[in-house]
Amino acid sequence: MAVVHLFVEPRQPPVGRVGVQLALASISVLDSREAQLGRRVKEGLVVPMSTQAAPARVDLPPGTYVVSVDLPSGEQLTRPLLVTGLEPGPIKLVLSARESPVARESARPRAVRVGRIVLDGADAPRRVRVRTTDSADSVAQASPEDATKRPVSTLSVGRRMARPPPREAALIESAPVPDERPRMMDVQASGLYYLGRMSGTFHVSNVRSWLTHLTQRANSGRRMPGARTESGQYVDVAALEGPDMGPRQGGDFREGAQREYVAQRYACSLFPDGRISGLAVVPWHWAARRDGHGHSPVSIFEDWDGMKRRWNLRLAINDGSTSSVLSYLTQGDLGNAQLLLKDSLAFLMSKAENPYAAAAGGYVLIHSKDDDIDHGDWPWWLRNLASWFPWLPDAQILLATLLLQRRRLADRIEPGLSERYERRISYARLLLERAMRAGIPIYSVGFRLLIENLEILSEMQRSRRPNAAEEGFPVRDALKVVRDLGSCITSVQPMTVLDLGELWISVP
Amino acid sequence: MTYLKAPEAGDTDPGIHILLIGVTNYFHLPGGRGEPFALADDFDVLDAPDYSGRALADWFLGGNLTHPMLPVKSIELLGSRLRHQKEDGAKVPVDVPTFANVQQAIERWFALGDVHPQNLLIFYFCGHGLQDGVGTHSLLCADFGAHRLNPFDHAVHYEGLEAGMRACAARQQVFLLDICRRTEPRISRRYGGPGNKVVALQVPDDAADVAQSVIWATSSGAGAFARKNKPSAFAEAFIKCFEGGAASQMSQMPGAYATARSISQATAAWMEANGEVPQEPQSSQPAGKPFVLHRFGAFTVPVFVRCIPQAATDAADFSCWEDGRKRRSRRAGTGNAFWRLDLPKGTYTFKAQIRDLVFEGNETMVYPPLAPVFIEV
Repeated sequence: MAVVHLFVEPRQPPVGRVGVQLALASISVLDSREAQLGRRVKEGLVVPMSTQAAPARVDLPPGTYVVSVDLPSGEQLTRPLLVTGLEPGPIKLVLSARESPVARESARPRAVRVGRIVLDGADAPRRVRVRTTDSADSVAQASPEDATKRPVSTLSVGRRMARPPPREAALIESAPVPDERPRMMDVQASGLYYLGRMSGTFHVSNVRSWLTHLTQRANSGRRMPGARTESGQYVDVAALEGPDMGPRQGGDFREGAQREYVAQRYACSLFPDGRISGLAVVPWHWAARRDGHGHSPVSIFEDWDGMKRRWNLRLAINDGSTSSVLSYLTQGDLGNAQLLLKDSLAFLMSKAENPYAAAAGGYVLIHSKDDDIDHGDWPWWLRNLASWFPWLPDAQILLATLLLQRRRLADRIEPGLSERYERRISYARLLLERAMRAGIPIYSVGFRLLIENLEILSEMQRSRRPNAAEEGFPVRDALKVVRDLGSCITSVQPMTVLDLGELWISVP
Repeated sequence: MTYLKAPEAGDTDPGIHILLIGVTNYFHLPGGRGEPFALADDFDVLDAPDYSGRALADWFLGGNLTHPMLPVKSIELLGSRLRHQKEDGAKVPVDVPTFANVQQAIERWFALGDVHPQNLLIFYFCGHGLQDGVGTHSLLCADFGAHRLNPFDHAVHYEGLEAGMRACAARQQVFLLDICRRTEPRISRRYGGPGNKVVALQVPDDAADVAQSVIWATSSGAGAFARKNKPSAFAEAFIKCFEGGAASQMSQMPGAYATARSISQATAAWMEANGEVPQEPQSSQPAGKPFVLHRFGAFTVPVFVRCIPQAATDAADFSCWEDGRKRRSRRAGTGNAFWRLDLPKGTYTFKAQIRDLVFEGNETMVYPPLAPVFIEV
């Protein structure tokens, strides 16, 4: 047996206080004489994405192996490994993350550079935009072959179709990083209703008004001290005690709509003229775990996109484990998210300590098959999360999803509820109303579920099912607002980050 | 309806049902003959979708998809200018992908899947697509823009369809979306979207009972590419990865299998290695767990051989060696930026000869999804 120490080197050294993310590795035997791929000898190995952290350790008999690592970004790394059994000490195997468009979409600014203008015979001139990487050597260049490579939406004319007139060629220059960085403002939105009161002066249809109100608050907010980087800036956001955010143990998710409670905190990026360009929903605090980032729950990065001439806002949770779980989930890798969650389920279940992390775990649970979860009482756990933390939109969305989309499990939060249609729908409507009132979901996956659930209610309303909608909660208006805001989510990030720059222009 | 492989009447055994849609000709967008849509300038003329639909149809018809348990039971194709040769030799045009035809095709496809929970459904759409934020993709049908004030009347709201399909009895569903995912705020802000979900939400007892795998041809916010008079880059990469690039192991079963995730990774690796287009497919699993789509027998792995520096690649005679024997070779001067070959999994040595000098690379293990080889000269 030989000891193998497995590391994953991140694509770039971490900036700020970002915690060490975790990746999942598997090891298979590679035998060239076998007709098929060799058997998998190890799987579910948790590997820290840092060469400074303690590595994953695995014992292997002599042989030839392939080590495969699924990164939270969706990227997969593979490396061969030869074990002779004669090694004097542990074998150190380091897999390095490479540049990946998927990772870039989710975690980095989208730096784009003009390649060149190409002509395809008599067709219209086209502009080719080529993504660049950090290294000047590896800048992708449009090759001569590119003359015939176009987006699906720019293909040449078919035989039976008229040929459109050629367009003028356009050369787009990548703009340099402006010297003046945006102002990053801390907006504590307690008392700032998401879109106004949900009853009485309910005005969910008026996003503009909300934006105006938010802008006033942002301009008078506290400026977050940022550190300059070559491409922009970053801010390590300090933890704050939010207003009355402790668990309301004994609370009941079935309580009426009169309880209004907003406890959101936003990081708003401001244009020089004071308009908001971006908004990130920020947790107030984050209970420290083994990686000890409780004092700074998140870091915010703002990088310049020279092609689009705009700033990109990105928010990273500094708790590496939770951030990894969320990243796997956001990339559609539920299996690895489940594997990683098993390691930390106990922590997530201690929701009184960290409801944000608990909600992150809740998203994995709500997407999982019931048989795959060891704890059969998880629906009750979601019920408590929603009851104890009425200010957390994600908690309300999770329980509403269980009631609307996982009816069979509803009996575990109230006996007989799965068969009591009207009651179940009434609860779900209440939860969604409370979610809307509490603010913006902190996780982007929650945004998608919020839209789905509102659509289900809207459909029920259309088919005149009882209790799907009541006065005071116009579901279709709410759906429109959520869609408007959802359209501002322009990159794949686990946390909710809204690009409000265009909303300013488009909302009447 | 245009079934290339028609389902047998009364057959209730589980199987695979495939719906392929390629929208090349948009009546109200550039190149179309209908009254132009007001914001038609935001779209370009398409060519690839018909080629892509045809290529996938031929591939499926050729029996290339080998599921461990399920046979392919039906294949329906919609295309703008495709013709299908029937058994009696007559050539008939396939259904044009107007919204009405797409809707009816989806209804038939749903009904076929609804017969048995072990059914596997595959949906492929190639054409114009729009993204308008979270959970809001529109698949534009051929008559998009026919209603001047409500163009999305002739579009499918993809996420709505996906959610509605969870009500179908078929427990395994794959969606292949070969569309651009750019946002067009001018359009989405002016018109109410995102389209018709076709399958209105019927909430199943437990949404997690259904496994839905989605493979996007490109990453969020980016474009999807194609070549002139050829299938799209994604369609080509999709078919190619079934030669072996998508082979992965399952912990519970011996052998090599393809899942949506391994397909996505293999297509991404292929597209990156050949460097034709800046496009990276993505997969997601909105419901349930990933599942096996294909079982591999003997397979090959794509290999890309290059010199360092890159400029020397075209000047090199390449050869591939296994156990001291030359397996393959390539002469210099092909004009390609790499030497691409397909090899069975194993360990190989690659050599580059430039004039009288022979440069030998390190021994290379070739295994899925792809083997990049660099020889320093």
